[in-house]
Amino acid sequence: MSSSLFALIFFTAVACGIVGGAFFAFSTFVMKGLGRVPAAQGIVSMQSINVEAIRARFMAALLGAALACIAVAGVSLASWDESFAPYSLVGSVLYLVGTILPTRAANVPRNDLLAELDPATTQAASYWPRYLTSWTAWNHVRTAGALAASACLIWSIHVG
Amino acid sequence: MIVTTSPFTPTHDNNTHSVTGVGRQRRTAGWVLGSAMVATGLIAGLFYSYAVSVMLGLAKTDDRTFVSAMQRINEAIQNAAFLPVFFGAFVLPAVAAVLHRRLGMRDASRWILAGAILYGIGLAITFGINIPLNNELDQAGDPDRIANLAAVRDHFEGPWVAWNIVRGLFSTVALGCLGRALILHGNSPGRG
Repeated sequence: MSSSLFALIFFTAVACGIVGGAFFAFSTFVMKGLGRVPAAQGIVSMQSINVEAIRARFMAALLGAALACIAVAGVSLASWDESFAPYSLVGSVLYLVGTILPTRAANVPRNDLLAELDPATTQAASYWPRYLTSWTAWNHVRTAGALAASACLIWSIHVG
Repeated sequence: MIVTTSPFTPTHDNNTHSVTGVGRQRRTAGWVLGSAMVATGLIAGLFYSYAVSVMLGLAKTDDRTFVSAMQRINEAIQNAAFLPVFFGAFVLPAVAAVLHRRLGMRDASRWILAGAILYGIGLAITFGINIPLNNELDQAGDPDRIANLAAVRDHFEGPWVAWNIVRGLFSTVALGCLGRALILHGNSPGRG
Protein backbone atom coordinates (compact mmCIF):
# COMPACT_ATOMS: atom_id res chain seq x y z
CA MET A 1 0.00 0.00 0.00
CA SER A 2 1.47 3.36 -1.02
CA SER A 3 1.62 6.10 1.59
CA SER A 4 -0.95 8.29 -0.20
CA LEU A 5 -3.35 5.35 -0.47
CA PHE A 6 -2.70 4.54 3.14
CA ALA A 7 -3.49 8.15 4.10
CA LEU A 8 -6.75 8.03 2.12
CA ILE A 9 -7.95 4.79 3.71
CA PHE A 10 -6.84 5.90 7.15
CA PHE A 11 -8.69 9.23 6.83
CA THR A 12 -11.77 7.36 5.59
CA ALA A 13 -11.66 4.85 8.45
CA VAL A 14 -11.41 7.64 11.04
CA ALA A 15 -14.20 9.65 9.38
CA CYS A 16 -16.51 6.60 9.27
CA GLY A 17 -15.69 5.87 12.92
CA ILE A 18 -16.49 9.45 13.97
CA VAL A 19 -19.78 9.43 12.06
CA GLY A 20 -20.61 6.03 13.56
CA GLY A 21 -19.88 7.43 17.01
CA ALA A 22 -22.06 10.47 16.37
CA PHE A 23 -25.03 8.27 15.45
CA PHE A 24 -24.15 5.87 18.28
CA ALA A 25 -24.93 8.70 20.72
CA PHE A 26 -28.46 8.99 19.33
CA SER A 27 -28.96 5.22 19.27
CA THR A 28 -27.82 4.60 22.80
CA PHE A 29 -29.07 7.55 24.85
CA VAL A 30 -30.06 10.84 23.15
CA MET A 31 -33.36 9.54 21.75
CA LYS A 32 -34.11 7.64 24.97
CA GLY A 33 -33.59 10.86 26.90
CA LEU A 34 -35.78 12.90 24.55
CA GLY A 35 -38.46 10.21 24.76
CA ARG A 36 -38.69 10.74 28.51
CA VAL A 37 -39.46 14.46 28.49
CA PRO A 38 -42.94 15.85 27.65
CA ALA A 39 -43.64 15.39 23.91
CA ALA A 40 -43.61 19.12 23.08
CA GLN A 41 -40.17 19.54 24.71
CA GLY A 42 -38.82 16.42 22.98
CA ILE A 43 -40.08 17.65 19.60
CA VAL A 44 -38.65 21.15 20.04
CA SER A 45 -35.29 19.67 21.07
CA MET A 46 -35.13 17.27 18.12
CA GLN A 47 -36.23 19.93 15.64
CA SER A 48 -33.49 22.19 16.93
CA ILE A 49 -30.88 19.38 16.86
CA ASN A 50 -31.84 18.57 13.26
CA VAL A 51 -31.34 22.19 12.24
CA GLU A 52 -27.83 22.15 13.75
CA ALA A 53 -26.97 18.73 12.28
CA ILE A 54 -27.33 19.89 8.69
CA ARG A 55 -24.77 22.66 9.17
CA ALA A 56 -21.26 22.31 7.75
CA ARG A 57 -19.61 21.18 11.00
CA PHE A 58 -21.48 17.86 10.92
CA MET A 59 -22.13 17.53 7.19
CA ALA A 60 -18.37 17.85 6.58
CA ALA A 61 -17.86 14.54 8.39
CA LEU A 62 -20.95 12.76 7.01
CA LEU A 63 -20.41 13.73 3.37
CA GLY A 64 -16.62 13.95 3.57
CA ALA A 65 -16.62 10.28 4.59
CA ALA A 66 -18.99 9.50 1.70
CA LEU A 67 -16.72 11.15 -0.87
CA ALA A 68 -13.71 9.42 0.65
CA CYS A 69 -15.54 6.07 0.45
CA ILE A 70 -16.27 6.60 -3.26
CA ALA A 71 -12.55 7.26 -3.79
CA VAL A 72 -11.57 4.20 -1.73
CA ALA A 73 -14.01 1.99 -3.65
CA GLY A 74 -12.50 3.16 -6.96
CA VAL A 75 -8.94 2.59 -5.80
CA SER A 76 -9.86 -0.84 -4.40
CA LEU A 77 -11.25 -1.96 -7.74
CA ALA A 78 -8.23 -0.58 -9.54
CA SER A 79 -5.85 -2.53 -7.30
CA TRP A 80 -8.01 -5.61 -6.95
CA ASP A 81 -5.12 -8.09 -6.85
CA GLU A 82 -3.75 -6.50 -3.65
CA SER A 83 -4.60 -8.22 -0.38
CA PHE A 84 -6.20 -5.14 1.20
CA ALA A 85 -8.56 -4.39 -1.71
CA PRO A 86 -11.50 -6.69 -0.81
CA TYR A 87 -11.61 -5.28 2.74
CA SER A 88 -11.38 -1.65 1.68
CA LEU A 89 -14.03 -2.17 -1.02
CA VAL A 90 -16.44 -3.84 1.43
CA GLY A 91 -15.75 -1.09 4.00
CA SER A 92 -16.46 1.76 1.62
CA VAL A 93 -19.59 0.11 0.20
CA LEU A 94 -20.85 -0.60 3.73
CA TYR A 95 -20.72 3.11 4.55
CA LEU A 96 -22.43 4.18 1.33
CA VAL A 97 -25.15 1.51 1.49
CA GLY A 98 -25.41 1.12 5.25
CA THR A 99 -25.14 4.75 6.35
CA ILE A 100 -25.70 7.25 3.54
CA LEU A 101 -28.60 5.36 1.95
CA PRO A 102 -30.68 4.93 5.16
CA THR A 103 -29.93 8.56 6.09
CA ARG A 104 -31.23 9.81 2.78
CA ALA A 105 -34.12 7.35 2.46
CA ALA A 106 -35.32 7.00 6.05
CA ASN A 107 -33.98 9.56 8.55
CA VAL A 108 -34.06 12.73 6.44
CA PRO A 109 -37.69 12.30 5.27
CA ARG A 110 -38.75 11.79 8.90
CA ASN A 111 -36.81 14.88 9.95
CA ASP A 112 -38.51 16.86 7.19
CA LEU A 113 -41.90 15.68 8.39
CA LEU A 114 -41.06 16.55 12.01
CA ALA A 115 -39.75 19.99 11.04
CA GLU A 116 -43.13 21.00 9.65
CA LEU A 117 -45.07 20.17 12.81
CA ASP A 118 -45.98 22.66 15.49
CA PRO A 119 -44.80 21.00 18.75
CA ALA A 120 -47.85 22.23 20.67
CA THR A 121 -50.39 20.45 18.44
CA THR A 122 -51.98 17.01 18.98
CA GLN A 123 -50.87 16.10 15.46
CA ALA A 124 -47.26 16.56 16.55
CA ALA A 125 -47.84 14.66 19.79
CA SER A 126 -49.30 11.72 17.91
CA TYR A 127 -46.45 11.63 15.38
CA TRP A 128 -43.69 11.91 18.00
CA PRO A 129 -43.82 8.30 19.37
CA ARG A 130 -43.76 6.92 15.81
CA TYR A 131 -40.86 9.20 14.95
CA LEU A 132 -38.94 8.07 18.03
CA THR A 133 -39.39 4.38 17.17
CA SER A 134 -38.78 4.38 13.43
CA TRP A 135 -36.12 7.12 13.32
CA THR A 136 -34.17 5.36 16.07
CA ALA A 137 -34.48 1.96 14.36
CA TRP A 138 -32.98 3.40 11.16
CA ASN A 139 -30.39 5.18 13.22
CA HIS A 140 -29.29 1.78 14.58
CA VAL A 141 -28.86 0.62 10.97
CA ARG A 142 -26.72 3.57 9.92
CA THR A 143 -24.66 3.38 13.12
CA ALA A 144 -23.93 -0.29 12.42
CA GLY A 145 -23.10 0.56 8.78
CA ALA A 146 -20.55 3.22 9.71
CA LEU A 147 -19.07 1.10 12.48
CA ALA A 148 -18.69 -1.96 10.22
CA ALA A 149 -17.23 0.25 7.48
CA SER A 150 -14.67 1.70 9.85
CA ALA A 151 -13.71 -1.78 11.10
CA CYS A 152 -13.27 -3.13 7.54
CA LEU A 153 -11.16 -0.12 6.52
CA ILE A 154 -8.98 -0.46 9.62
CA TRP A 155 -8.57 -4.13 8.81
CA SER A 156 -7.62 -3.35 5.21
CA ILE A 157 -4.81 -1.10 6.51
CA HIS A 158 -3.75 -3.90 8.82
CA VAL A 159 -3.52 -6.51 6.02
CA GLY A 160 -2.25 -4.09 3.37
CA MET B 1 6.92 -24.69 22.39
CA ILE B 2 7.97 -22.23 25.01
CA VAL B 3 9.78 -19.98 22.50
CA THR B 4 6.44 -18.83 21.13
CA THR B 5 5.89 -16.66 24.18
CA SER B 6 9.31 -15.01 24.10
CA PRO B 7 9.34 -11.41 22.93
CA PHE B 8 12.83 -11.98 21.63
CA THR B 9 11.91 -14.74 19.23
CA PRO B 10 12.76 -13.54 15.72
CA THR B 11 9.43 -13.61 13.93
CA HIS B 12 11.13 -14.57 10.66
CA ASP B 13 12.52 -17.70 12.29
CA ASN B 14 12.31 -20.74 10.05
CA ASN B 15 10.94 -22.75 12.92
CA THR B 16 7.34 -23.22 11.84
CA HIS B 17 6.08 -23.74 15.39
CA SER B 18 7.33 -20.39 16.61
CA VAL B 19 6.18 -18.63 13.43
CA THR B 20 2.70 -20.04 13.93
CA GLY B 21 2.63 -19.13 17.60
CA VAL B 22 3.91 -15.60 17.09
CA GLY B 23 1.60 -15.22 14.11
CA ARG B 24 -1.35 -16.06 16.32
CA GLN B 25 -0.19 -13.63 19.00
CA ARG B 26 0.27 -10.98 16.33
CA ARG B 27 -3.25 -11.54 15.06
CA THR B 28 -4.64 -11.33 18.60
CA ALA B 29 -2.70 -8.12 19.24
CA GLY B 30 -3.95 -6.76 15.91
CA TRP B 31 -7.56 -7.56 16.76
CA VAL B 32 -7.29 -5.93 20.17
CA LEU B 33 -5.71 -2.83 18.62
CA GLY B 34 -8.36 -2.72 15.86
CA SER B 35 -11.14 -3.05 18.45
CA ALA B 36 -9.50 -0.33 20.54
CA MET B 37 -9.57 1.97 17.50
CA VAL B 38 -13.24 1.25 16.85
CA ALA B 39 -14.18 1.92 20.50
CA THR B 40 -12.10 5.11 20.65
CA GLY B 41 -13.58 6.26 17.32
CA LEU B 42 -17.11 5.69 18.64
CA ILE B 43 -16.48 7.77 21.74
CA ALA B 44 -14.68 10.52 19.82
CA GLY B 45 -17.66 10.62 17.46
CA LEU B 46 -20.06 10.67 20.38
CA PHE B 47 -18.39 13.74 21.90
CA TYR B 48 -18.33 15.29 18.43
CA SER B 49 -22.05 14.62 18.14
CA TYR B 50 -22.69 16.46 21.43
CA ALA B 51 -20.50 19.33 20.23
CA VAL B 52 -21.94 19.85 16.74
CA SER B 53 -25.56 18.78 17.08
CA VAL B 54 -27.01 17.90 20.49
CA MET B 55 -25.70 20.80 22.59
CA LEU B 56 -26.08 23.33 19.77
CA GLY B 57 -29.64 22.13 19.23
CA LEU B 58 -30.49 22.28 22.93
CA ALA B 59 -28.78 25.70 23.17
CA LYS B 60 -31.67 27.14 21.16
CA THR B 61 -34.37 25.71 23.42
CA ASP B 62 -35.93 27.39 26.47
CA ASP B 63 -34.55 26.77 29.98
CA ARG B 64 -37.20 24.26 31.00
CA THR B 65 -36.71 22.16 27.85
CA PHE B 66 -32.93 22.35 28.17
CA VAL B 67 -32.82 21.27 31.81
CA SER B 68 -35.35 18.46 31.50
CA ALA B 69 -33.89 17.11 28.22
CA MET B 70 -30.35 17.15 29.63
CA GLN B 71 -31.47 15.49 32.88
CA ARG B 72 -33.16 12.67 30.95
CA ILE B 73 -30.25 12.28 28.48
CA ASN B 74 -27.83 11.95 31.41
CA GLU B 75 -30.10 9.33 32.93
CA ALA B 76 -30.43 7.43 29.63
CA ILE B 77 -26.68 7.35 28.99
CA GLN B 78 -26.13 4.97 31.89
CA ASN B 79 -26.86 1.84 29.87
CA ALA B 80 -25.33 -1.44 28.74
CA ALA B 81 -24.55 -0.28 25.21
CA PHE B 82 -22.69 2.91 26.06
CA LEU B 83 -20.73 2.10 29.22
CA PRO B 84 -18.77 -0.95 27.90
CA VAL B 85 -17.62 1.08 24.88
CA PHE B 86 -16.78 4.09 27.05
CA PHE B 87 -14.53 2.05 29.34
CA GLY B 88 -13.45 -0.32 26.55
CA ALA B 89 -11.82 2.62 24.78
CA PHE B 90 -9.45 2.83 27.76
CA VAL B 91 -9.04 -0.87 28.63
CA LEU B 92 -8.53 -2.17 25.06
CA PRO B 93 -5.59 0.16 24.27
CA ALA B 94 -4.04 -0.67 27.65
CA VAL B 95 -4.23 -4.39 26.84
CA ALA B 96 -3.04 -3.79 23.26
CA ALA B 97 -0.01 -1.86 24.58
CA VAL B 98 0.99 -4.80 26.77
CA LEU B 99 0.49 -7.34 23.96
CA HIS B 100 2.58 -5.32 21.52
CA ARG B 101 5.32 -4.81 24.03
CA ARG B 102 5.44 -8.56 24.66
CA LEU B 103 5.81 -9.11 20.91
CA GLY B 104 8.77 -6.74 20.93
CA MET B 105 6.93 -4.03 18.96
CA ARG B 106 8.14 -1.23 21.18
CA ASP B 107 7.34 1.69 18.88
CA ALA B 108 3.78 0.48 18.30
CA SER B 109 3.44 -0.12 22.03
CA ARG B 110 4.52 3.47 22.81
CA TRP B 111 1.98 4.96 20.42
CA ILE B 112 -0.77 2.76 21.86
CA LEU B 113 0.21 3.80 25.36
CA ALA B 114 0.09 7.45 24.28
CA GLY B 115 -3.43 6.81 22.93
CA ALA B 116 -4.50 5.19 26.20
CA ILE B 117 -3.10 8.09 28.25
CA LEU B 118 -4.75 10.75 26.06
CA TYR B 119 -8.08 8.95 26.23
CA GLY B 120 -7.50 8.58 29.97
CA ILE B 121 -7.21 12.37 30.25
CA GLY B 122 -10.58 12.59 28.49
CA LEU B 123 -11.97 10.11 31.03
CA ALA B 124 -10.56 12.23 33.87
CA ILE B 125 -12.31 15.30 32.42
CA THR B 126 -15.56 13.35 32.23
CA PHE B 127 -15.29 12.18 35.84
CA GLY B 128 -13.82 15.39 37.20
CA ILE B 129 -16.04 17.93 35.43
CA ASN B 130 -18.90 16.65 33.26
CA ILE B 131 -20.28 14.05 35.66
CA PRO B 132 -20.23 16.40 38.70
CA LEU B 133 -22.08 18.98 36.56
CA ASN B 134 -24.58 16.29 35.55
CA ASN B 135 -25.07 15.38 39.20
CA GLU B 136 -25.68 19.00 40.19
CA LEU B 137 -28.20 19.36 37.38
CA ASP B 138 -29.93 16.18 38.50
CA GLN B 139 -30.02 17.36 42.12
CA ALA B 140 -31.70 20.61 41.07
CA GLY B 141 -34.77 18.36 40.72
CA ASP B 142 -37.97 18.71 38.72
CA PRO B 143 -37.58 21.69 36.30
CA ASP B 144 -41.16 22.73 37.10
CA ARG B 145 -40.11 23.34 40.71
CA ILE B 146 -36.75 25.02 40.19
CA ALA B 147 -36.97 28.65 41.32
CA ASN B 148 -34.17 30.05 39.19
CA LEU B 149 -34.11 27.83 36.12
CA ALA B 150 -31.94 30.20 34.08
CA ALA B 151 -29.20 30.19 36.74
CA VAL B 152 -29.22 26.38 36.97
CA ARG B 153 -28.89 26.17 33.20
CA ASP B 154 -26.12 28.77 32.97
CA HIS B 155 -24.11 27.09 35.70
CA PHE B 156 -24.26 23.83 33.73
CA GLU B 157 -24.25 24.68 30.05
CA GLY B 158 -21.14 26.83 29.47
CA PRO B 159 -18.54 24.68 31.26
CA TRP B 160 -20.13 21.38 30.20
CA VAL B 161 -20.07 22.31 26.51
CA ALA B 162 -16.51 23.68 26.68
CA TRP B 163 -15.09 20.63 28.48
CA ASN B 164 -16.96 18.31 26.13
CA ILE B 165 -14.98 19.85 23.26
CA VAL B 166 -11.74 19.37 25.20
CA ARG B 167 -12.42 15.68 25.94
CA GLY B 168 -13.50 15.24 22.31
CA LEU B 169 -10.16 16.58 21.11
CA PHE B 170 -8.23 14.30 23.48
CA SER B 171 -10.19 11.27 22.24
CA THR B 172 -9.62 12.22 18.61
CA VAL B 173 -5.86 12.61 19.09
CA ALA B 174 -5.88 9.27 20.97
CA LEU B 175 -7.51 7.71 17.91
CA GLY B 176 -4.72 9.12 15.73
CA CYS B 177 -2.08 7.58 18.02
CA LEU B 178 -3.74 4.15 17.81
CA GLY B 179 -3.87 4.50 14.03
CA ARG B 180 -0.16 5.28 13.93
CA ALA B 181 0.45 2.13 16.01
CA LEU B 182 -1.63 0.06 13.62
CA ILE B 183 0.58 1.12 10.71
CA LEU B 184 3.68 0.17 12.69
CA HIS B 185 2.00 -3.12 13.54
CA GLY B 186 1.24 -3.77 9.85
CA ASN B 187 4.78 -2.83 8.78
CA SER B 188 6.59 -4.91 11.38
CA PRO B 189 8.45 -8.00 10.15
CA GLY B 190 7.02 -11.47 10.45
CA ARG B 191 3.45 -10.72 9.50
CA GLY B 192 1.52 -13.96 9.36
